[in-house]
Amino acid sequence: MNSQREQWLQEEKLAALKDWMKLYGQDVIQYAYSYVKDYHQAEDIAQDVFLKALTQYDTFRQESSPKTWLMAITANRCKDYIRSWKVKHEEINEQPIQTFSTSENVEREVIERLEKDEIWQMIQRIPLKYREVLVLFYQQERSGQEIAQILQISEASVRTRLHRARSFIKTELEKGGFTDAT
Amino acid sequence: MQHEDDDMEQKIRQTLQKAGKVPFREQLQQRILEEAERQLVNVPGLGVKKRRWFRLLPNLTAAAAVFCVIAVGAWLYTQKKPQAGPIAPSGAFSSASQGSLASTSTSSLSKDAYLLYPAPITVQHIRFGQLPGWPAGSVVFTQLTNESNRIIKKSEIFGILSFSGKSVQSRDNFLSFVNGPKEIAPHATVTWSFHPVGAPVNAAGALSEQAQLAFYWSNASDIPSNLHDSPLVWRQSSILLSNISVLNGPTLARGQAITVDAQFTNPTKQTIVTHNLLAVVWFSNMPNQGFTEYGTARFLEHLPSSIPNKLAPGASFDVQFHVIGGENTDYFSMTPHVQLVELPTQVPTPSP
Repeated sequence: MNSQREQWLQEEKLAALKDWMKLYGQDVIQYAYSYVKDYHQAEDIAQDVFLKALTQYDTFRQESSPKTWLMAITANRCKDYIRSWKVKHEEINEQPIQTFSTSENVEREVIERLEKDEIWQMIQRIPLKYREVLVLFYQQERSGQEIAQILQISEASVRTRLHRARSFIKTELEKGGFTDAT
Repeated sequence: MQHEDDDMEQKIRQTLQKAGKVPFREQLQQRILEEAERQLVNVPGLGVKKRRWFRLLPNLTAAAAVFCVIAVGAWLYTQKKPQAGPIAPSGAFSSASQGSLASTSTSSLSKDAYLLYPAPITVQHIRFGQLPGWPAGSVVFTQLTNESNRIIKKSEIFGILSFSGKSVQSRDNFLSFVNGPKEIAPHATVTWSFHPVGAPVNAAGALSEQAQLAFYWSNASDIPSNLHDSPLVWRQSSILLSNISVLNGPTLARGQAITVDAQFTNPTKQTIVTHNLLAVVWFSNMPNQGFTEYGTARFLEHLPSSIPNKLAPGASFDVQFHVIGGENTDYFSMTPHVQLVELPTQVPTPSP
């Protein structure tokens, strides 16, 4: 009886996982990429995020929005990664990875496209503290309250960071010819 | 004016949404599902980590660059061992040596707190620049003035580097121990520079946030009391440490990658909040050496966000710290220590 119940529970969890990936996978990996600037790493982080969500499935039910919760896990996971010794080494190596098997051509194309993307380059010139707010607000269209929940800061801090972030992005937009500096 | 703001707001939104889509590939989804299934049937999954380590290998050579603290003022620096940590933040755990907290050292007030007494060194003109071998803007340059009437030697002081000012209270902040210059003559000013590993940088590798630096006496009890100022208090957490193990990380071109596993337990009858804790990790040649003492390899580390924010009585959690240490230091022959401290209620003294 117990084993049947466990099986149902497992199936329920896997079904939830599939739903989360379908609904929020794109947002999670996009947000992770804004932190780590590395497609492979963003993929690994996305994997960690969903697996962690799975392990916290029971506690999650008490939460409000699954997307906000997943984005909070993503932000924390990215910050842990950035603080880890791995990033201390990987960060300075800005050379694209050179060796790909033929089966990874698609992956290579994605990496090259992202690395050449001027908007991503611009976003990644913004200091992390402001970038994370900027991406959530403008790219992911999260509200101030949701951003506060995701980053575990106050809404006042969100407003302050957003204000500074706008200055940075405005300068970048003008510098990069994305705007006529109206 | 409002109209212009709205236009700009619209422009920002439109531009950022035009950023290239980062695909969430079908293969990745499949990989996650397979891993999830494995975990649900209690089979340990290794896929991700293996993949990550494997991919990391080609990058490690260039990596080395980041790890050490570079130079010192032009006139000073002769032989520097990066071990004592101007640089790498890291983590670790501690073992035995509570004895290092003996009240004979003025660096530690009691068994419950460390008192860090500011050294009479004024830190001015912190800026980010470049030295050969490092990305532009990734090296911290500053001017240090000895405000006292005596020579201050490297062995007498240590520094704490922080970024983002007030956010020392938050997990976002970067903190690191740094060494000082070889010596500073009375009332002399020297230029001091170093490369902080792991500090917040932008895409180009340049430091991107405001830095603060303050120096403290290593053994304040040896220093005349007129050279003491109000101390920074680092209160020790009641959380106990156990099951410490030190493991080698992957081989690096420069420096050593070391992983420290530890288990923390709440031995009290009250719930302990963990979000305000920092881990001080140090390796010493003598079992009783405290982290402030010269010759120790010391690191400061935030706890990973994965740990519970509140630790119930009797509850435990495992922590893994990754340390990048100096290549000439034999960490495995040294005594490892880890102490959790509450985030200081006062930030490191900012430069004027």
